[in-house]
Amino acid sequence: LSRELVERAMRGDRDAFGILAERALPRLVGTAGLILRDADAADDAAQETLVRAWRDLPGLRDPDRFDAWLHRVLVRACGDQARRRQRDRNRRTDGEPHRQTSDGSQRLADRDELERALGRLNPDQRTAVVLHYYLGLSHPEIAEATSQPIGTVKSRLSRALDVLQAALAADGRVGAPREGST
Amino acid sequence: VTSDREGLERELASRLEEMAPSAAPNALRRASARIAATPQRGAWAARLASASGSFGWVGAGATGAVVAAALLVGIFIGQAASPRGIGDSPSIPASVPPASATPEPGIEWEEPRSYSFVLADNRCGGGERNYFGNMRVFVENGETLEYVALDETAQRFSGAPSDVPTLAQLLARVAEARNAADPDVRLVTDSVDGHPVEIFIDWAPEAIDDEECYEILRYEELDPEAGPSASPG
Repeated sequence: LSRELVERAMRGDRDAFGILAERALPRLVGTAGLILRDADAADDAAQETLVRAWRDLPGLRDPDRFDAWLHRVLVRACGDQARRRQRDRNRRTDGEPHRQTSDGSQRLADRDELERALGRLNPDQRTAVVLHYYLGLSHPEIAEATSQPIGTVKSRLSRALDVLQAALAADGRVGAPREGST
Repeated sequence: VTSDREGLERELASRLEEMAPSAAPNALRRASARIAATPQRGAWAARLASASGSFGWVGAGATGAVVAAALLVGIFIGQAASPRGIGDSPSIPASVPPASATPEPGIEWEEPRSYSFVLADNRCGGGERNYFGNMRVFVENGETLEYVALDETAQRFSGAPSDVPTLAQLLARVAEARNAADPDVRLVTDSVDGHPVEIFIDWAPEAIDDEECYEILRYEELDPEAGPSASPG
């Protein structure tokens, strides 16, 4: 059924694409939210993913690879969104030091140690962690989604776990991680 | 929170699910509005034919449908006006803003009833899309009637003629890109009759491999009675 929907969507069937989009949306938003740690940014990234998917779907060579292909589109959309947010933050902080989240965005709260620890990862590490432990992608699948060699994926995951462990340990000792403590 | 490695991995697998946001209040609605205004590559004719409809999966009456309808009116004006297509429209580029990065001669191209051109599409975009390659395209009454492959890339293209864009449809894509969020769009037109000769669209300048660039070569108006076989390129 999924293949049929993808093939219909590839031929321009908007209803078919709508079904695929609605099915995929919770995972898209969840993944983007964990990678970007910002609800507004996740919303934007999910939106961008759907638009790009619709636009580029005719170029998909194997309909059975739709999910893997969509993950790749999502990762790129998250990367673009992260850079855009960073650029906006840089603009805002020009002459306005220490002013944060003044735009009313629903930034995801750092509710506990694990969330704070995830915030210590760089975007590439966090992406690998989310794809592996949230979406359940294998190393080769993450490599495809991120356009990176498998070795790079493995090292990113390994390094990410090191950072998380160190951050959690530091959090447990002093209550909050400090810059450079990893 | 445990800090040993295996425990951490178990923790991640279980906790990420509950940490992930589950709601995207705007994504679907805004995406649908943008998609409704985005004719994708391929199936151009089918998309244009259905362009006057709303984007169904958001639901009638949703804000997105209203936005989509407004965008569609702007983008497909000219195409939707004639059941025979865009050939009868007096001025196709009416909704296309002037080019920003290239000299604009100020000549407004009118799509002839019958014309031909060589579409060269093999330079931009990378892995996310298939190229048309180099092909001679024959257009009549606003629809691609036939194409003739001129290189291996075009020979691999297996779409129907209606999957190959006309010049008016490429200009509609330029207009669509200029309505998008953050595009880099360049349009070069012929100084004599105003037909497009080069189109560059970078939908998201910070993303790689999403660019489109087309060259239009050897454009010529045709005698509609002669048919495409008169000049097979």
